[in-house]
Formats: sequence, structure tokens, C-alpha cells
Amino acid sequence: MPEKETPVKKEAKKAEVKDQPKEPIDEGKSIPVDMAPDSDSSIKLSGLMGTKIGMTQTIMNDGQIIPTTIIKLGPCLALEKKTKNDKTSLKIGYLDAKPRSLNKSKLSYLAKLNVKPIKYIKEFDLLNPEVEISPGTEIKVDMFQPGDVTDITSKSKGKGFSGVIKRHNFAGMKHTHGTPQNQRSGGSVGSCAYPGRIWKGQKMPGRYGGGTSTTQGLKVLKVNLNENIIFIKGAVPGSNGSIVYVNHTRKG
Amino acid sequence: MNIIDKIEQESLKEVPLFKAGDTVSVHYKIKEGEKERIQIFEGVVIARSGSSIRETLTVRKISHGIGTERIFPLHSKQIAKIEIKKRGRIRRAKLYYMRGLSKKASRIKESTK
Repeated sequence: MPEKETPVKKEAKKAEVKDQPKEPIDEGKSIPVDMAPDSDSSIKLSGLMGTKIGMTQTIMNDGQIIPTTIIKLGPCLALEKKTKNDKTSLKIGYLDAKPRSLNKSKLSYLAKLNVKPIKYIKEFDLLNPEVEISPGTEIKVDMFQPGDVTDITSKSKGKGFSGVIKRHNFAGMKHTHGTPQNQRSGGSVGSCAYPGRIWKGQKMPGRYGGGTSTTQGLKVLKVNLNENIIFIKGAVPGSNGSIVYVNHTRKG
Repeated sequence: MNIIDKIEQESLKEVPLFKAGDTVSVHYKIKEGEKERIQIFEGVVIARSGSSIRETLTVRKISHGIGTERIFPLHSKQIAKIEIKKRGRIRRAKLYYMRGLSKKASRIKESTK
């Protein structure tokens, strides 16, 4: 495993090296950002909402080919600060919607904040609670930098009624030595007179997939601020076009 | 054009026109410690598969009497150059049948075009 990770580390180092000469340019950029409060990067959020677009490959300079997921991340609109149990979070909205596709409660809530109609609303942790928030402020992908580690949550692809090999990684039965034609069955499910019943939680076939799923430790390869696109190394749960939540990693 | 096509388009290299049956030499960069040198692999292209950034070419040659094949990612940055030595006249896109042929039988006629 560590061998696999090295190219990305190298990549991250490269990115750092690249960043150093760019610093003066970034400072130059930060001035107009301050002038225009519409795209405020002073809001520090735990994550952002986006759409999974699909997968492709990235060819590195050293010949490595890296599987890459492309996510259209944001721009999200800041809506409202919420405080609960000493934790401050920020409600953000993503994706423009037709007003007639929203219900009255959502529309009136957005009208009260003076924000355009929005399809998805979700809360994310606000890491700097003291910051002032004006509803409608855009939050963009630049909260992520190449080399960052993320956890990505989405609704996984539904697999329907699945057997025990796919659903619980059972090994199945032998294919030789006179096994009857049930090589994909799980085998015995209980004991004898004790306990005289099947234990609760016995792994059996059933509905699989289609639930909330998180993949941890996915690295950011590249960020494209103009197109609001983020490049992630590896696969992300969910089908193309599904809504994903990209968070900074929980693991340090 | 959708977003993925657009992104892939950016990292495509300019590749000379060639197809299966052509004899090419692939100049491939190899890193040895600090040094970088170029290795040349010359043989017949028996297949081009995949599309866009995923496209690969399979090159086959007989080296010391043993058939050797190598698959290169066409748009890899390790490929310095693809040189076309000969244009072959063939009638199918994949020449996997060449694997079963003797050296004499696997000769390809040169295209007159």
C-alpha cells in the first residue's frame, strides 16, 4: 500500500513546489476577492456539495496512469448560520431550480433570505464560527487544494436483491468434490438444539446498495476553479449525475 | 461536448497516422535512477484498442526467435516518438492471428499507397 501512495505524495510535493512561485500571484488575486464579497473565501467549511460527472484517467509526467473521478463541486450559496450544542454549521444550497418544482415552505424560506430558488440544501460544519455570513455568498471549489485528503459521501448504486457472495463477501462453496448445484449459496445458517433458532443479524441474501455510502481518504489531484471541477484519485460512490458531499477528511 | 470529453481532449498528444499492420518503432523513455534514456521497440502494430485518452497500441516483434509483445498507452508522456517504418496491406483491424504464425508466414505485404 505505501508504494502505491508514493506517486501521489510526490505529486503533492510537486504541487507545493509549484505553489511557492505562484504565491505573489495569489496575493494579487486575493485583493479583488476582498473587494467583491460575492465570492467570499473567508468562510471555512468542512465540505461542499456537488455532482459526480464520471471517471477518466490522468496521465502523469512519469508515465503513471491514475484513475480519476471528476466532480462538479459547487458553486454553493451560503444561506444561514446554525448553532446547536456549541457546534456551528452553515446551511448551503446547491443547483438552481425552477420555482414551480419547489414546495411552498422551501420557496418562502429562500425568499426570506432573498436567495434564488435552490434544489438542494444541506448543513456543513463551519470551522470559523465568528465569520459574518450574508445569504447568497458563493462558496467555490478553491476551498480544496491539490494534495488534500477528502471523504466523499453519496448514495451508492442499487444492486437489487443480491446473494450472499456479493452482499457479504462470502466465499461460496467448492466447485468440485461432488458439491450440489448451489456453489453460490451461503451454506448452513444455524446450529442444533441450542440455540434452536437463528441468531439475530445472520448474514443472508437481500436488498443491497442504494444506501448512503462514504469512501474515506480520497486525494485531490487537481482543482479547476473556472469550471468548478475537482479531480479525485480513485472511485467515488454513486452513479454518474448523483449528488455527492465532499468533506475534508475526518482522519487527521 | 461533455465535460469529460473536454478534459480528455486537453491531454491528448499529437500522434502520427498509423494503423494495424504498420511497422513502427516506439521511442520509450526509461528512467534508470537519475538518468533517463530512450529505448526503441520496433515491430508490427497488431492492434489499436480503446479510444481517446485510454487508447493503446500493441506492438509485436520476434526477438531472438521468441515472439514478444508490448502494449503502450498511446498518449503516455513516456513515449517520445512513434516512427513509422513501413505501411502494411492488411484486411482486418486486429492481427491477433499473427501469434500463431511462423516468422515466414507472418510477413506482411507493403501497402502500395
